[in-house]
Amino acid sequence: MKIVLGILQPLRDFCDSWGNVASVLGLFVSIFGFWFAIRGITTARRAAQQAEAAAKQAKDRVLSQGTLAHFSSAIAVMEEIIRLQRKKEWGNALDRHSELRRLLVELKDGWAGIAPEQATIIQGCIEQFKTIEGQIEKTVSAARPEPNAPRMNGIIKDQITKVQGIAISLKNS
Amino acid sequence: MTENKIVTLVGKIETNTNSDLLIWEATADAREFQTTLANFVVRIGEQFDPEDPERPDYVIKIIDRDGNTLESATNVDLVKMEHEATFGERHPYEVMQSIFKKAKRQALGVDKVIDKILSELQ
Repeated sequence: MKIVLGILQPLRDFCDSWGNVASVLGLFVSIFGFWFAIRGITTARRAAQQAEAAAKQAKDRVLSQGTLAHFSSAIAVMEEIIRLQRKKEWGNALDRHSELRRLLVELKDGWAGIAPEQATIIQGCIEQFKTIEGQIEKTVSAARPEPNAPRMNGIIKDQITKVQGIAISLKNS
Repeated sequence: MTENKIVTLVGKIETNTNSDLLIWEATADAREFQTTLANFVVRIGEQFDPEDPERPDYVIKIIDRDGNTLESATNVDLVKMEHEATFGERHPYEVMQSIFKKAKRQALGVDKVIDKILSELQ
């Protein structure tokens, strides 16, 4: 036993003189380690957020291009309706009205980046087209006098301007 | 309660129409005009009254973003709706007719035409 204590004595002396220094150094190492760990977590989180934002941006860009393509389709159909109504091809015009209503409803409800006030403007256009469609329907189904094509076309031109305005503001946003 | 609110709303629509804060537009129906207000579409129209052909009725409709007609009131309905909220000394018919006429003048650009004629005459 004495022999063992004799061997361990220099170790005890060493610990007595250097133990406090080692504890303080250990504390600093712990603090640095903790700081590095926190930093690593923050950096990883920031990288994940940046990746998510980039993915969202890419998705919005694709959706926005789709929305703009949809606006172009709606405007093209409106222009076609003007041409058909000018030629008094009421049956064909009615078919195009159905297609246009579908496009406008999809734009209003299903596409990214449409603000509530823009959705209301599109609903206003839908209401305008409902009235026009109703008038053509009366002519086709009840053999009523033909509707006023120039007046209806004037209204459609106003709707084209409004829809184009929304498309431009989306494009610039 | 809702009836009072409708009377108040019609009053506000008249005030805003008179101060050109509402932009009315023509529709394919020559007797109907439309505007957008607080995410709603508002329409005012003239209806033939078989009992009094010389004096058409006026109807105002509020349509939401989904195309549902939330409220539709004629000048006859407004007479029945006047309880706490009223149009003061004025008859609802007068108020509705005023909105319709002003909406029509604005949508058809009558005021601008008159201004132009007046400027030509000076």
